[in-house]
Amino acid sequence: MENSCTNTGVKTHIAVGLFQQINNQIQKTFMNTIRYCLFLLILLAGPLNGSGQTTHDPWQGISSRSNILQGKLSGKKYYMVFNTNGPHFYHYDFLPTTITLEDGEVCKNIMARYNAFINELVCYNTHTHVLFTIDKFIVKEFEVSSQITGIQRFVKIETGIPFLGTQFFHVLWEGEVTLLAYYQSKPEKTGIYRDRHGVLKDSELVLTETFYLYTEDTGLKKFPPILKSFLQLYKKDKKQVRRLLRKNRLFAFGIPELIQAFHLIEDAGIKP
Amino acid sequence: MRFSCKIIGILIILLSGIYTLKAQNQPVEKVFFVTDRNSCVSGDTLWFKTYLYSSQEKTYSKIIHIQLDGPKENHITKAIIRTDARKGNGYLVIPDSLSSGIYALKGFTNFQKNFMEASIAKRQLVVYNRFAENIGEMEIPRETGLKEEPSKSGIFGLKTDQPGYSPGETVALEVTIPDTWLTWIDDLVLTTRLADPLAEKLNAQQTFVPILRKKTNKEYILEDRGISISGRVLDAKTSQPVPEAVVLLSVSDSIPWFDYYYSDQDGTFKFYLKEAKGLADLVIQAVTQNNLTCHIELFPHYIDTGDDPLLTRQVLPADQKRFIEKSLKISRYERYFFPTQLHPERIFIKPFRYKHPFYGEPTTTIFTRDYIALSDFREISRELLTASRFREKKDTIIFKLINQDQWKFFQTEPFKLLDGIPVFDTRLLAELNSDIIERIDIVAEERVYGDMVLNGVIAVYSFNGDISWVNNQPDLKQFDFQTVQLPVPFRNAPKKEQDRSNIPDFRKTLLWRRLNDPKKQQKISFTCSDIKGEFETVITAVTHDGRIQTGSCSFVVK
Repeated sequence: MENSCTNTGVKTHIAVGLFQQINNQIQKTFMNTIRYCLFLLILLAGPLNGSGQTTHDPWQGISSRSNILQGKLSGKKYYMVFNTNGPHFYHYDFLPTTITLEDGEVCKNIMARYNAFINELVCYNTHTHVLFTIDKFIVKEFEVSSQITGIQRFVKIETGIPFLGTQFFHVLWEGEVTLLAYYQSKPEKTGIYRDRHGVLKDSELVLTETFYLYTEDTGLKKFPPILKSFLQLYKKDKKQVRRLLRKNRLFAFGIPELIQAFHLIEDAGIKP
Repeated sequence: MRFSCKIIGILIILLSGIYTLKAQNQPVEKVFFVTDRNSCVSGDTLWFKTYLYSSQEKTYSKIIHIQLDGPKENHITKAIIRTDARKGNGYLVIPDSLSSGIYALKGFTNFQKNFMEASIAKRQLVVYNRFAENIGEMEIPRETGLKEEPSKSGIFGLKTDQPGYSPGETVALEVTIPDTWLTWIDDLVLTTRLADPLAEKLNAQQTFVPILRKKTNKEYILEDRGISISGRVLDAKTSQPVPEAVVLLSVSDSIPWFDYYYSDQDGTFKFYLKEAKGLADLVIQAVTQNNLTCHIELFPHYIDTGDDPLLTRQVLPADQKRFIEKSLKISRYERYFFPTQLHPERIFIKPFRYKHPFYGEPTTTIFTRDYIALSDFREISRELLTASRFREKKDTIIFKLINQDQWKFFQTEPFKLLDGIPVFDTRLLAELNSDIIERIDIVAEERVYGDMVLNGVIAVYSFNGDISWVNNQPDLKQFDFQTVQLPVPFRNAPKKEQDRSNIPDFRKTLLWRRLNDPKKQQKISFTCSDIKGEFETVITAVTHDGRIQTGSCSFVVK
């Protein structure tokens, strides 16, 4: 009986030992496989990672389409900003733009839109698919063609006004006087809200318009688009101007009415 | 059958009509030019006035090329001039060593090279070598080219107050232009020169020769503001053209000028240098994907014409021999009294400049003189260039800048410029110290220039701006390139003055004037020089529609 018990105990012991051995073997093989896989992964990941980091060279996007002899546009690479609410751009999309450079060269069909937040013209390079803010010092003026608003002409003006500097102004009317609009996206305080990324915010960007009037005598001056300031321009012929406006039923004074009024007055030969 | 024949016939007529219309719409340009003399001695300066006729009212070339070709159509020298209101002035210095013979002056625009049917203006220039003795015979070309319609005699009235004058005497010339012609004339040039019998005979009328254009798809640009530069990239080992290479052109300066071109399938490239004047110092290099060492060659701006000047050696008549002897003698004396010669100046007025270079407004500019002297660029980068990293590993040096928009280092090295010339080996910068470097511009942002994206820029400028180091770089090639001629007023041998009465007056050209406001009757006076002989006065007029009319008269100085 004892013998049989002893035999049974030995057998159990051997069985457990065998099981442990097999288990260890399996574990070893499994670990080896994992190690092997990891090694392979590291081997593969290295060059993949490396190739993604070091292949940039300035000639990457250059092709025969890049051969523009008349002059090339220069600027700073631009990245779209998504963490603010409200409009950054004045134009709804990248639109065909004609850019006149300071050296007199004209670049046509450049896809661009005016960024009113940084006050720069952002261009899209259709060859390299790169966005960039064109250097302000090379631009003289630009015309944006839109199916909705027609052709909008922007000119670069050295304002001499503190904190404004050299900026692009939209030319609304050009005659004896020049009516200009300056667009700017400014942050305005709001109630606390969560933006589309779930971040708590208390402000949002609002596109503002400031109007300026440019005359050779007075230079650039702020111009509120109201009847009073309009009449101030024509102090000598105030009565005549009033009569002309009344005759043409110009009572409400917005930007379209203001442009129409300038048109009427110049046609009538009245000078400021 | 008949019906299909009719359709084919109509189609042919239509196509020919379209072709004719297209040909009519093609812009036509034609250069006219007159020289102050038709013959000269080697080493002399030849002056010319040009006029450009164009069928286009607004868009036309404003740059005219005048080249001097040898008797066997070999190109000798050239001048590029800028015109104002279609009119231009220029000069050519006839090389001192040029042998005696009959040379051809050709005037053209770069745009004319696009058209097989273009007419190139040609004039013959007789050159006598100043050291030659006894020129008894000369190779004279058979008359070639299309002669402009001969001028009707008597259209322009040219009359001197006397048939003969003595040296120093004043000539009163009366010019009469019919009313009907006054409205048509766009350019009118008057010249009175010592008459060379042979040269006057050869240049009796303005000649136009056809262009010899090799079959090529290349388009020659209309040069309205500057000149085009073209050339070819070749493999330095095999001399085979290298396509798809990025060719970089730089003009070194405090505000450097830079441009690039992606070479065509035949390895050719071109650039357009706007507003450039004088002798340019260009540095050109080519960058290829497999880092080939390239050889750059620039194409000369010459034109090949299709005329074949058949030369026949002829014995010169006695009066011609006498004229040559006299000309050479005058030239020798002139050199003795007035040894200075006119040479194209090495001044170079650079292309239009913006306030900042192509890499924009620098993020930081460091003037080394504001700091203590530093021994090398490693020291400079450590001490002065705060947002940079300079690492030396065995034979290589890695220089990196911080991207100020992302506050981390750029993955790649910045675009490096040394005196405005792109350099790709950082070791070139490593040896520079505070004694050499005047200023360093750092652009710590991603820049875009055309289709190029630059991961930051470092531009190093030396005190002396000396770019002789370029010659030691196998990939860089420096060229002296003649761009548009700087305007120089007409220079002639000085007139005799009271206080210099003992110095003879050697003027061979007594009158050289453009009449900007021609009148029906005009009196012009000028003084004779001390040279005796027959002088020829020629009036050359070009009309709005591109026709030329000439008239002449002569007088003798005894």
